[in-house]
Amino acid sequence: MHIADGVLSTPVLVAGIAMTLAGTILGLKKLDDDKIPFAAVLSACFFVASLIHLPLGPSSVHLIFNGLIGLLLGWLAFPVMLVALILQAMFFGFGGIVVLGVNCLNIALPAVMVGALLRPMRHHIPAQLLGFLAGSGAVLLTGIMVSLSLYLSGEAFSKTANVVFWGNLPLSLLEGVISGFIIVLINQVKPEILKGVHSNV
Amino acid sequence: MYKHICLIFILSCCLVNTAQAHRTKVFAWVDGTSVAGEVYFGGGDRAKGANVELLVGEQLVASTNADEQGEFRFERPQPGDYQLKANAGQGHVATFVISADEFLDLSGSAAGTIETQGAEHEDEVGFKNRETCAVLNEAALVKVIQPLRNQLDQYEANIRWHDILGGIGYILGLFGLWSLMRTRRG
Repeated sequence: MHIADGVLSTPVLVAGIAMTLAGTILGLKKLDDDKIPFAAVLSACFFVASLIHLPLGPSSVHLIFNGLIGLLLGWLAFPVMLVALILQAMFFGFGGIVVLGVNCLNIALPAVMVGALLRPMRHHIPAQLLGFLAGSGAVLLTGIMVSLSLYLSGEAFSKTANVVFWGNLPLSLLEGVISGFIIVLINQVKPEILKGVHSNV
Repeated sequence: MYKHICLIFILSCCLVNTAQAHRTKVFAWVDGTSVAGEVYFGGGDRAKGANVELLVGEQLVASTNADEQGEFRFERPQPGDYQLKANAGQGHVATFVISADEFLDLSGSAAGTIETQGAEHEDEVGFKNRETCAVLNEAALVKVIQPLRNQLDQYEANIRWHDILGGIGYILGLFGLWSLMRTRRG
């Protein structure tokens, strides 16, 4: 998921930076005072989730939790993930510095999309299913966005898309199940978190 | 109770996996006359079948795929400054540089075998022998140091606890700062 420096073409990089900037500004505008501690905790959670890493096929995958963050925070996903991605790039060398914009867009935009789609349904479907759909849907969308950025930079789309899709399918199922459990847990322990999220739509 | 079990599970996940990361690395060395190397992800998982390119400047010289162990080898490249570029797919790209002085200087002994056919002076042959000895010594030294260099490279890719805790600290601190700014303005 973390694309390295020197892979993408300049137009893709610039577009990524511009869109991430726009998303981050929008997110910061929606960041109410009472949401700040919660956003900080989820940002830390995302930061650590990328370290839980599973060998899978020729590549290796790690949890992202972007579906969960999109469901709970909406547009706040942009600033929350940007902070964590900057630190990951600086401390661990996950992905490059110039591609931060594209990497953040690839992870945060699916989060926002999944959140916008699923949040209205949260009272109509069981919490487990809600978490599963958010988790797996966001990972698949991120996979598509990663292949799209590689394709726009000149790699053969069908090949990368194939690899990314099949590589991400097991991850998306796993992430769906784990996100499902987390949503169930949140629903039991602090149901007001799920109820209160509509203020950020 | 359920809450606590979940918390313990999540924490233990973090504990087990702190040594693993998602950073691609390529490491290579001169092995005799060829360039050997390996592609791996931070934490030590090998990148099977990754595409590896040998470049001079921006020019592609040779290309190969890593095997099941993530290892690759370029046979007999000309000594020179090389860049290696490994692509493990999905934007996982890593680069590595091999400089010309890592290659063993075989030119002296190779040229010697031809020259000695003409004038066979005793001390000249002795000099060539000494030179061959030096080359062999150097080769042996490189072989001994190699595992150490490997280990150092992998150690550098590992993630350590203080990095993770520092990162979490940064995140909470940044949001705290933001919160402070908001309350001052309000």
